[in-house]
Amino acid sequence: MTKAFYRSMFVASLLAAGTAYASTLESVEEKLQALKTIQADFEQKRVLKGTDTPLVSTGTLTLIRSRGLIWDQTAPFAQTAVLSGKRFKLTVEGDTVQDASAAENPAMQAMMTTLTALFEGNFREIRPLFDLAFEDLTNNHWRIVLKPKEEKLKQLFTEITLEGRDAITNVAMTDKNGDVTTLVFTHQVFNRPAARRVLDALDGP
Amino acid sequence: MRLTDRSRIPALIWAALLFAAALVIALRLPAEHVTSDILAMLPKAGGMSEVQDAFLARLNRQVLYAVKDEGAVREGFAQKLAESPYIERVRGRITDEEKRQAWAALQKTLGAVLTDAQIAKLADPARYAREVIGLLYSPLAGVSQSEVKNDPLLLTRRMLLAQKSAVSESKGYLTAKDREGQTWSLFFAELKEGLSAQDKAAFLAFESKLRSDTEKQLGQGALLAQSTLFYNRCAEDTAKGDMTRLGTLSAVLLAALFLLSFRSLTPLGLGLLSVASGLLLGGAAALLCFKTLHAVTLVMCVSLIGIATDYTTYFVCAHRTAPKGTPASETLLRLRPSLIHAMVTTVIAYGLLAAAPFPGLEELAVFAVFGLLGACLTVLLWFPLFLGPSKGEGLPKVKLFPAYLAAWKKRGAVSFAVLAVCAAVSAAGLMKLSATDDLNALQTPPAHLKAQENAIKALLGNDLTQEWIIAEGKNEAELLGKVEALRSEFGGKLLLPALRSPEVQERAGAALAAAHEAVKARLAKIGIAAGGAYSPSATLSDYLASPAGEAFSALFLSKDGTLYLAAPVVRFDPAMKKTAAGVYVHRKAEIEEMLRELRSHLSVFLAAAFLLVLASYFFKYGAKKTLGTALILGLAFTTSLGALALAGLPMNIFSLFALILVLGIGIDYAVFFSYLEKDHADSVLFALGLAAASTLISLGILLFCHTDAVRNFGLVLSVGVLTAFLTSPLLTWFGEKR
Repeated sequence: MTKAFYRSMFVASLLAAGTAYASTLESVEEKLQALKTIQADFEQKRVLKGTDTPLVSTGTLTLIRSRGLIWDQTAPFAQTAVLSGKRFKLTVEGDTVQDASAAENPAMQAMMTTLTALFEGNFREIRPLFDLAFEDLTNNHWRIVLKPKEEKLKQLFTEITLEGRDAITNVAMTDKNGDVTTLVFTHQVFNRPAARRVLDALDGP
Repeated sequence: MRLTDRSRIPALIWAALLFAAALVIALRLPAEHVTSDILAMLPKAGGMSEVQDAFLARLNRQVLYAVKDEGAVREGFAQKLAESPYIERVRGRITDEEKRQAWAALQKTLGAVLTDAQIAKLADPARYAREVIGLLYSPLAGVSQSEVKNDPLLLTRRMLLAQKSAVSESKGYLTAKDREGQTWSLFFAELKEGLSAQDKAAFLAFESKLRSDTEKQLGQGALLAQSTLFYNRCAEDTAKGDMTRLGTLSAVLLAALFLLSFRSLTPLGLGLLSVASGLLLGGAAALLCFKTLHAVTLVMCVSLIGIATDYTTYFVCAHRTAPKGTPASETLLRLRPSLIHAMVTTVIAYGLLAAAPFPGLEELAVFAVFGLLGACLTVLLWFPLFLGPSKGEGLPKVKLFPAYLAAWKKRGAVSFAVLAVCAAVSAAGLMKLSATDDLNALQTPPAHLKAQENAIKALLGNDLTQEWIIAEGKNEAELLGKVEALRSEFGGKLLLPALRSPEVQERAGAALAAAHEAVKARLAKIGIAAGGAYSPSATLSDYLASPAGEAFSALFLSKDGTLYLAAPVVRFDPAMKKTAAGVYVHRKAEIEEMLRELRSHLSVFLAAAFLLVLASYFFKYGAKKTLGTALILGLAFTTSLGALALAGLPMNIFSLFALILVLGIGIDYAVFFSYLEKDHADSVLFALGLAAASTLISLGILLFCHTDAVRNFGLVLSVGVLTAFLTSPLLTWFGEKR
């Protein structure tokens, strides 16, 4: 029923736009929602205000629809962040330094739901929290700028920019203090069944 | 018998005494010795009652406002409130400067409010450094440059995350959200210490105007307020209204009854004189015995007027029916034994109220004992001087009483009807009679205040003002040590200040320093020069100035060189009653427990008093009359309790005290009927009927009182006395004495 509704919305938006191949928020939504899993390499740069050298880290990201995501950093040091619906687990250099239920940390929870919703294309879920501005760049390339409406999120960022084609390729987050975090995703693989190891990490105790 | 000069001496002494009483009242009454404070009416219970009182007095000075606005209206409201000369301070608006100060205070206390888990984490510096660096790299944690530089241990965010309060700060105001997600701005106003009753009244008038003005701008129900001050004002208004209304009504009805019965102004004047003397002596005695008189007591005292007039009634009746030319002193001589007897039984019954732990009832007891004594002494000492010899005019012929008595003597339909009604009320009522010791059943707070209180409770979470553990210490270190003991014993079941004891602070300080070094070293490796300074220790005043500690400032108290903390109970644990670290206090439960005990003691006492009365009756009047009296009093008890149940009221401590009075007053009727001589039957019946009518008028008036406890008391008392009066001719069925 929801699927059918979205499809009819999609058709309607196509008709309205008049251009068969232009991207719309709905078409992006449709595309992202079709992805069951995403695996990608990431490069993260955190430019902290007042420091010269950015903090750069690389690793892989695994996202499994409605299960959660694993942030597996390999450089400059090993770090794994596991986000599943209920918990947040941070392991640094093989040492689990945080393992908490999401409910204990409302800010973290808000962040987690937002990020997961973005990757999964659940814009409906984040509309109440953000003002969304969609921009159709050329060649199937699009950009979405999100500005938080909700008080708790405003404490965290002032703006999030997403760019992508078939999936999100670039993310830029500006936080309240002016620190900017950019993420670039490469070598994206979609809908490949997740390894046992990954599922165990998500479901783990 | 002639009045000699010597016989005038007691009358003169009595006049001097009454003058002194009037002076006492004139001097003491205007200086606010009448209170309507609900707390003053409650019995003292539990340990540390003085400390409890001090905490409660502080609560008594606080008013909490919730304004459904986020704009100029709330600002104007807070501004005007703060400008009131009676306000010490208003919390709720936070300026940037205050925020800076609070932030500084927070930084100062960070190291002193660590939990055991946090201290354990800090004790592993390498691991702690890993966590910080992990969070710094994590895109999700949002750790900023400035944060990691100023607070490399990320303690501030930990503390802010750990705070779970319904109240939060938004745009410079303290706010809370209701269930519909609407934002309310909160203001905590504290009145100055030691305000007089007039000051408080002036403040209440001011704030009530301010509230209605604000509500006009925001709409009905957009401003909530909560304070015991409001309850007290309502109780005071109610009591004052009741006293004026019921007092006037009682006086008018009694005056009408007197005028109608005697068709002359003299008895009314005499009655007024006697009642006024009673009021003077009773009032002065009560003012001398108690620091303050409760307004509710004064309402109950109104009911004494009807009893006090009885002595005048008996005297006037006796004098009028005496042979023509009989001097007043001779009438008195004849009447004196029964007059004193009637007064003593009533005084004893009222005197027993002094055993009640309710200050209100104790005051009533003192007032009644001296008031009735005063009224009776005026009759005994002054009336013979004011009244000439009897004119032998007799009494108006009232057919009602003799006819009623005759109906009983004939065992006519009327007598059986009365008995049947009493039996029916007893049977129907006693089946559904319930007993309660619930304090809330004594006085119903006005619905609008209760509704606001509930709305505020919904905004802020649980009410934490009922149950406490009070800990004490000779100094800060000792008290904080007790807090540590309570924390390890009860954890989250108590609301405790996060400030650690000096001992724990010392332990935390060492871990803090090591972790700080490790984190700084790790951050230096990635090019971040972190600073930050963690004060290893904080004092109580540092803590109370910090945002987390400020809410606790009302829970600390310094009294006579000892420091106290009242920790509100979040979830009760039976072990709290036995903890060595503090005294468990649950005022309402303790008072109710005490009332329960008292109620069972009183029931036994009532039964014992009943048997004692019957025993003394048995020796004086024999078995038959004793049986009759037992029936009359028993019926008075059951009918009054039955009527109570039928009125939908539960039996409580006030009902039992009323029963004691039913015993004390009801026995008088039985005594009179036992004395009934054939030749004087009509005049005695007239006096008796009139006395009963006046008593019933002033007791019955208590039914219209707005205080539940007084209404309960009045209902049992008036129905009981009415039953005793109506059924006392039953004694004629039980044969004559001899």
